[in-house]
Amino acid sequence: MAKILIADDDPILVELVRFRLEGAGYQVLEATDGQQAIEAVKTERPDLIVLDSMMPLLSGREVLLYLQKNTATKDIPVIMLTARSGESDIVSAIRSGASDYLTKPFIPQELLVRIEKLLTLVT
Amino acid sequence: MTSLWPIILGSGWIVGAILVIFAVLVLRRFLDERSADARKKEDAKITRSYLRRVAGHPPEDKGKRWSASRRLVAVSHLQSLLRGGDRSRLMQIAEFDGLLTETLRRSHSVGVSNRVDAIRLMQRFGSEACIARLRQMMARDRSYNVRLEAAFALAATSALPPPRETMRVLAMLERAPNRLDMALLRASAPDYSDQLVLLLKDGLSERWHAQLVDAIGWSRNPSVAPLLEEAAMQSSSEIRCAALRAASKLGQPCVEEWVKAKLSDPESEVRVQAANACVALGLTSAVDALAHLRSDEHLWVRLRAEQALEQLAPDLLAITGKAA
Amino acid sequence: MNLAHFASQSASVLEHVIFATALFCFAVVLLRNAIGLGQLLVATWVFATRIEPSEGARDLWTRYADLALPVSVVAPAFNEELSIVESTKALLALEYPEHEVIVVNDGSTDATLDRLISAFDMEESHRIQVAELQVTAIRKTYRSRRYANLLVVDKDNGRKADAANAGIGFARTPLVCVIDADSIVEPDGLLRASEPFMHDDGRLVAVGGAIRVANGSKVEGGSLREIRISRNFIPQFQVCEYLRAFLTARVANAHTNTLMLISGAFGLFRRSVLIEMGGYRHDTVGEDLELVTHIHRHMRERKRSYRIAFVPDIVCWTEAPASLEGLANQRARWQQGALETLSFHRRMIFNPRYGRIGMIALPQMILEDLLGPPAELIGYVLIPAAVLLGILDPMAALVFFFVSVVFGCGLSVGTLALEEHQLRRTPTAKDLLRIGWAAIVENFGYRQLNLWYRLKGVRRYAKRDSTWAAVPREGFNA
Repeated sequence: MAKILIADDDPILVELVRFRLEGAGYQVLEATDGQQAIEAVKTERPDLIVLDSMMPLLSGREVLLYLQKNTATKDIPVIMLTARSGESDIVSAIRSGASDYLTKPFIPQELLVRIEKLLTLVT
Repeated sequence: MTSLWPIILGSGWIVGAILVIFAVLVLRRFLDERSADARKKEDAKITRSYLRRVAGHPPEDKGKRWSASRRLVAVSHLQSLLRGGDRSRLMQIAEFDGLLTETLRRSHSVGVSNRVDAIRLMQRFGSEACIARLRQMMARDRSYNVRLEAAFALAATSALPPPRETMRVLAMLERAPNRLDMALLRASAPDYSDQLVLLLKDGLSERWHAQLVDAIGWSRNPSVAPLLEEAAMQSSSEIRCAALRAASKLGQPCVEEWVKAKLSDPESEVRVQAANACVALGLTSAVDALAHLRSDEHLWVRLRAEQALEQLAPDLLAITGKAA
Repeated sequence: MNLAHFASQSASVLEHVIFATALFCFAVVLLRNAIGLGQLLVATWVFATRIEPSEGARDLWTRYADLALPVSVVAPAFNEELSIVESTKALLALEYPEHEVIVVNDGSTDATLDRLISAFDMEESHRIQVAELQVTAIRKTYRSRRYANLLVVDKDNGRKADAANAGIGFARTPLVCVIDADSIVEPDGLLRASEPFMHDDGRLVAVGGAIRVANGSKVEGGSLREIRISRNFIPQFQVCEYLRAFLTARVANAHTNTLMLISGAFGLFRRSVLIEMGGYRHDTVGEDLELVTHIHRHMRERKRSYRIAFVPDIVCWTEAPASLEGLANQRARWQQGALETLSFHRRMIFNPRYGRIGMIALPQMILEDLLGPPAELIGYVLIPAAVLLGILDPMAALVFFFVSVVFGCGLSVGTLALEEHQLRRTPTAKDLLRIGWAAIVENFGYRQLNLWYRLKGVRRYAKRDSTWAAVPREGFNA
């Protein structure tokens, strides 16, 4: 069963993603800030990360840069969730190594499909 | 000297009262902090219960344990994250739970900030009952700010009343137009372009006439193009500027000729607007005329022409720029 | 017999003088505090009836982005090599439909300019200056190959006023926002500050916003990551002072149309008005205070209808001096600036031609800045002395203590209560308590110390006043 880490400081969004992912049979881990996210990546080795771009302590982009630096974590697919639909944010997210992105508000089904696709690409 | 006692007592009382108020606020903050975790857990539970229902499961406990206001917070937050079918199902369920009724009730409360909160929630619900209530508030609320807020909510859901009504309710014509008025008129343009065109014949002041012309540009209705051309020939430079702004928004090929002609308008402001419009419409055929404007007598026209050329013909600028 | 009579008579004259002085000091302190209480009440009323900027309105600004007036952010920088790249990035990232960042390198002697050039891939440009407001020479201007909205102006060293003027001269947008190099602007600060222009019918000329003390907070990449309260008392006292200044005094003044100061750390102005006035004055250390007074004068002398607004939302954060030495310097400078402004515009004082600015705002400034500090300090010494000499009832000393110190505590704590009720930007209940404690403690020592620093400013003013004519500009590069 694939392990997915959701990192976001908004408990309602975490709950929403968790509900849909667990419904689809994934194992879900959560982190409420960037530092926790990095800890969780180190100890739990998730198969995929859903990352919010705006988080306390370390922003989503900083977490991405950290993941890119380590060979062990470089290949974990990351889906960025951004509140802003600004072009520069999306470009910078992809440039820093995100595999995909979604802007809030989003369609939960779409998130599921994207996760599925990314996971099949990796394996 | 005993007459000084009132000063001591008075200031003592005032300071004492302030300290008590402050203490209460600190206590409130402290209690908030202590219950933050519990509240988060409760929010998560409410969220999960709604998500289950959105996914088609029956409600496990009828949600009666949670107060309406807590559920409203959770639902309005959740709906801001969702899009598509899930979102509309959520709003239906919330309506079924009586959250809509609660919001409508709140829109009648005495406090202005409560009414404004209700307006924002109604904007999110967006159902017919909400639109009806929003229109009512826009027309009749006793506070101007609340009426304005309702107008914004209606604009955001593209449900503004006809422009004549909007202008009357917000007493627009009694004052000079501001940017909020412009935004509201533009928001009503796609639905009411005919009414805006009719308003042009009302003989309003030049400034308001210009605002109407500007708004018409946002109507997405190609049949207004000739009207814009007419406006561009008016004697008021403000109206001519508005016509150019509107033409660049409308983006119809039939406006190109007269937009280019405005590059030689006698008013410098209009020439600046015309240069802007050439960029917005991507009129590469205006490059020669724009190059000519680089030696205009007005600094702003020269600057704007330069910028326009940078965007329309970067190569040309690279050659002549070096020569200059 | 005669001699004794004379002695007793002169003693009674002295008594009268002491009594009258004490009474005057008391009256000044009482009046200042009464104004403070009035401002707190007005601010409470303003906040109670305020509607926060709505999402609906925000939504419209994103849809009709061209309605938001373009802004040029002018950031003068002098020897900022360590932070300039980060702070420029933060300015470029500000949330706003259309803004240009103009960094003015004010003849830095370090690598400020080189850092900018390499970080933003800049090349020389031949940007035309629309208006020449500076008195020093412009060396070069640079454009970034990567950011279309960044301009760097390199010029000879002058004062902040001169650097800001140079930047304003290069601006092409209807609005200019002048900041300090070390201001940490909130990501949506520009958007909030420009909000009054949305409701404006053309009369609005300037907007100020609330500024907070950043000391102790976590600052990264030129933006504020986490609000924290410093453990050090000196910044804590200044947190209280800033709250009093921005949450009550400015809000109340703006409400009554008598706003006299838009802080140099962040101010939004209509470009055309600044150009008409010739920008900032070069010969004062309080150029920000002078500018707003000058705007009032300029508009009123031309009989133009105008408005200056203030948004109580936080627009920017600034590092306050953490040592007494730095504080002494800052306060003396503020005091000197206030006196200079009063003397430049003395014609306006009590002059009905200038309306409420001449009749209310400037007299209030005289009370606050000219009479207040010495009156209170003299009161602290004279009143107990008079009691000891038996001239005054001990009761009078108690009243003075109540009116100055106890009432001061009340005003500070009251402002803090207003902040907590309305804005809630203090991180935790514990921090709130800490600041509350500082608001009380500051009245025993810090407040008196500040008055002393301000007297130093008076001395500086008196000294430099006479040297102005002889030594232009250079004399102020302290």
